[in-house]
Amino acid sequence: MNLQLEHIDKTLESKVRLGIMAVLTVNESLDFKSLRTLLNLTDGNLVTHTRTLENAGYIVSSKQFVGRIPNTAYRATEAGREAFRRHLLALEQLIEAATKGSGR
Amino acid sequence: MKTKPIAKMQNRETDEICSTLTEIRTLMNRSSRFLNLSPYAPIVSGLLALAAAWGVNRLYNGGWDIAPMLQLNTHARIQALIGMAAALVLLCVAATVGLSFAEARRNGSKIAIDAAARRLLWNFFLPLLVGGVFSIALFVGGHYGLTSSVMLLFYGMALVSASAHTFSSVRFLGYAELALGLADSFCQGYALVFWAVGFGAFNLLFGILFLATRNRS
Repeated sequence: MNLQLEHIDKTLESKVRLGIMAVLTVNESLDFKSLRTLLNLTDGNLVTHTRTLENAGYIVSSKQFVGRIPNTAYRATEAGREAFRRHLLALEQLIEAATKGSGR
Repeated sequence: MKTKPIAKMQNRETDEICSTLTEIRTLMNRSSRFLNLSPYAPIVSGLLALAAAWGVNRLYNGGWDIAPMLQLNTHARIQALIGMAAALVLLCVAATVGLSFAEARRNGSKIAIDAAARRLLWNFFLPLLVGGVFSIALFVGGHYGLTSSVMLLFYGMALVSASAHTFSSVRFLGYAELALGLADSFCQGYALVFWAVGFGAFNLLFGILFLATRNRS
């Protein structure tokens, strides 16, 4: 079977991280609060996942201050967009293969 | 994970991937478009516009045609006309905002003026505001005949530009308004009829279609 399983991205296996990438690929940039509301996460949870994505080079953050309150904005990098696209493609192929395999 | 044979993969797992993909898709849509627009908003706005058109028609004693009535445009009538226009705009905006809040509650989404809502507001109101000021300039300059086509054209532009940030079907209403506005600019003497069709009937029709398709899905 000619499946490109290497495209299943370990970093994007987490549903939350996949969600963050999804939202950031359709938006120029989003701040911490919007991401938290959209994905329905706690602060700590979001920080952990964004850090993982940052370390993978999929997103970049920029911190600004609105008055005294820090406001972090996140953007998807070109590498992140490409990884997200490949991961989705791989998932689609998986489903296709599985539905054929089980005769559905 | 990598070594798991695909053919033996459980149906449950593929279902899980499917539901994840669906969730991702909703998330992408929800984050980039404002989807709490109520179908009742264009219906209410259309009805208000029809009522206003009827009011203007009464004001001019049953004539449907404003342009050749230049000599009939007394000071009091113009004041009443501008007052009605201002009231209509305020009522439509208030109705749309109120209904959107109700829609957000219905959808169970948090009522927030997020990035998507801000983009929608900006892209809708910028062309509308420019068109509004331009219409006032035309009206003040006495070009009554062109006012209605300018209003329709800029409203159409506003809808097309807003459609990228909310339900994409909004652009079809925009195209219809643009076609009507262009037709209006070539026809003289039926300003109020064109205006009533564009702002009244088209909005009403769009709202009804919107409501019907939403309830089906």
